[in-house]
Amino acid sequence: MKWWKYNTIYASGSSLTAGGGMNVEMNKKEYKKLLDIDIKNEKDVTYPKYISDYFNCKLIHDAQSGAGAPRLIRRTYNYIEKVGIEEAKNTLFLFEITDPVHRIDFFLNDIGDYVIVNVRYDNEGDNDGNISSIQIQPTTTDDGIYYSEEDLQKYVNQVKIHLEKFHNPVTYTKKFIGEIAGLFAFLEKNDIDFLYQFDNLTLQQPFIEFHKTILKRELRVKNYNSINQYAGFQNLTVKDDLKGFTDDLHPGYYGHKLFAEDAIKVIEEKLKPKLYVFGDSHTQSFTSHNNARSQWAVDYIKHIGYVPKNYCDLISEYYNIEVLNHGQGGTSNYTIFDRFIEVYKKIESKDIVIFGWTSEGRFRISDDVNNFIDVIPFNPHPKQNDDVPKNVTNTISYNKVTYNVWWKEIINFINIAKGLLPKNKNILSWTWVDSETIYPTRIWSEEMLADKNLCVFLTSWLESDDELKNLIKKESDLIVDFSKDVNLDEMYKSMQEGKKVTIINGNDLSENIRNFMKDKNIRTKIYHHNNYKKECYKLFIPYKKYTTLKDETNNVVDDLHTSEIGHKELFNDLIKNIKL
Amino acid sequence: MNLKRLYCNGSSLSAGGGLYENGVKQKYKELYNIEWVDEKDVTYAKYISDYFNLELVHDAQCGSGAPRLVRRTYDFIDSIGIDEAQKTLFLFEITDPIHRVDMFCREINDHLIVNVRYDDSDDGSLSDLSVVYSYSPIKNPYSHNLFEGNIENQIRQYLDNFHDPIVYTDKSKGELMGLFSFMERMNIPFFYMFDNPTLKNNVKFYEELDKTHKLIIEDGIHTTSHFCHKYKLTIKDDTKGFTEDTHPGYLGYKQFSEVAIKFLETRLY
Repeated sequence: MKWWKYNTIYASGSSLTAGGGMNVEMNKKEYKKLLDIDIKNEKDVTYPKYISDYFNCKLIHDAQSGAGAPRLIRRTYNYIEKVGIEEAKNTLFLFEITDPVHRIDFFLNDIGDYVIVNVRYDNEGDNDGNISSIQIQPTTTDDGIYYSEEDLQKYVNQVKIHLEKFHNPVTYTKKFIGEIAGLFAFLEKNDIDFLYQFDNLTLQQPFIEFHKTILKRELRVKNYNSINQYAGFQNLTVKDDLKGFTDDLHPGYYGHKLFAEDAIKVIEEKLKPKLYVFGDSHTQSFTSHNNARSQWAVDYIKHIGYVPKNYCDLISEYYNIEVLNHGQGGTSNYTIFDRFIEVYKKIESKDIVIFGWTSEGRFRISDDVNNFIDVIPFNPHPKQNDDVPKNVTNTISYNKVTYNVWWKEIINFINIAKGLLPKNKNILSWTWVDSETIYPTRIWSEEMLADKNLCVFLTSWLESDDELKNLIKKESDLIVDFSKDVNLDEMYKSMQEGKKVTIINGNDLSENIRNFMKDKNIRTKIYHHNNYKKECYKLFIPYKKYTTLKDETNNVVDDLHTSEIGHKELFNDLIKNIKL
Repeated sequence: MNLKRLYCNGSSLSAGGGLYENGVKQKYKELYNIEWVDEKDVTYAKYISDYFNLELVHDAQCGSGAPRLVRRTYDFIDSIGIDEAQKTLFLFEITDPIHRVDMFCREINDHLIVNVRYDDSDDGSLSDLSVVYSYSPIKNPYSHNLFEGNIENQIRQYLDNFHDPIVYTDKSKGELMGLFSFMERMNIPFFYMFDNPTLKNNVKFYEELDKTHKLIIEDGIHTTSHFCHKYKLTIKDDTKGFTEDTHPGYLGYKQFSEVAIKFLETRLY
């Protein structure tokens, strides 16, 4: 189960989770006698154990009979404090929340740990809320020492006296209702995954608006709030299992087992990531191309004799996750990003998002009936709007492939996507477009040349790549290096003679130079040294030229789309970059 | 700024601790011709709420610590609802819970402030205990005497047998992070000051939270206490040694609030 990212399940709750009822010796014997079920440790037959076994991860089973929310909150913070937030992110927390009113988390100095004190108020006829009885649950301290109910009996009277004078069940419950919300908010804030069951939904009531924001964390199984309801309403209690041998209504052996089976489906549904892919024909599946009768795909499939899987299918298969493929042949990066914008609200933080960016030369115009249509320049496709001749779209496209500033758009698209999905760890990009940068053949326009007071100002010579340096050298009659001694009069004279002057290393101009330029009304046109294409490729997985149909079929299919082998190569590269 | 009220919670450092003493009040009158009835009216929370024209809910109490602050803040949010809480600016001054136990008492059907001291004994046992509803005489229906004797003895017994100050403090650290996470998630505006930064044990959590929720006064100055000690603006300083009380003085609160207001203006507008 490669999508499962957790190494530990931490379960906390009450007897409903701890296997209450199945810990009773008489009941254990009856299970053996009646159903031939051997229960040694009751926690081994509870739903957390089945769930952790299914997902093959370690279980910290911290539920305890009699425990309530206060203990759950305290021990969860303690656990996170102990393992650290980063490690806690590898833990899936399963919480079963019960009413704190009868469940007090009480510290005993003598044993140096907390015990569970269960309180009853219900025997009083006058309903004055007085405590009628208390029970201190057996406990094993963090240092492994076991204290039986008998060991703890000596504290009962003293604890009861204290509670009678210094405890109010309503106030106590109210305090922990807030703190449950606090714990859940803390876990959410830190991207620590958890699922909860509330046996009593009124515990959410004061902060219902908060709880609505974390509904995705609810472990609602077959529409039951909790395992208690699941087992109770479906006759799966200990009493039911043992045919009335006991009146114990805790979830029974089968209750836990069936609940676990159903809960696993819910957990998979909630936690399994989906794969969202956006791109062009290299992302669209071969099946889809084949159905659309794309000639290159039909020829290739005929050549290899089957419909191959592309990288999206392979990732989906590898993780056993659903793929939502928004790739479409012929689209421009604008359309690719648009598709993302249309669906991003459905993308959850657990999901994987992959962009397969296409050629920067593609763009969109409106067709004759007011729809965006992608233009693939320099090919035999017909023009897309009668008012926009092909030479116009070709000219625009030439501009787009020769000025790398256009890649700034892709950088922005990626940054927007990451900004919209701040919690998604897996937003990956790749492209089939060659990584080489093409520069234009000139810098100076006619208008610039006509302006005798204008020079070009390169923002950084040192950081310019060699191709840009060569272009500057080739296109400049005079390069003035402001980091050295400069003859300003000569520079000005050259400009007045209509020579092409480029200033380099001029970021920190002296007052003398600034005054000179101001006096002579010398203006500059800034040429940014940035190679936006290179910057953009840094946001992609490392560029590689993947095997094409043409390579793989030895020119039998003369097409440059990514082949089956290419997709496998791409799949391997992407997998290395996915961190669940 | 869509704020209607300011809710302040903290200890004596926010509640005007020491400024309720009659002798101190008289000295201020004598030295500065300054008078007040309720000491909370001369604390930073009052000045800040006046400046921003906000209704003030001043819930700080002398002797109280983080556990009371957490409990009362949830209660307050519950009482006004999330929508109203979003229109409330919460100012928290967090003090170490180790000497400050929040304890319910059925005798008065309310919580008490229990202050403990362990510092006179090497074995960590309790050396001093103070049980009050409130140290201030203002709006305090219960005399300190009510808790002397029986109640104090019972609490002492409880603390001796069922309370570990370290465990109690550790528990509060989690609860504070929960409260702040909850408020942040619900877009409830708040700023905090930690008198003792060791309470911010989860470094990564607070590194992030500090960026948006720490009330920044100046480097190394986190609370009114630090501020007033540095600038000699404690009650002792204000009253020229009339008392040994080193709680923030009248002038200290005033100057502190001016700095805090400047900071809040940069964050609230």
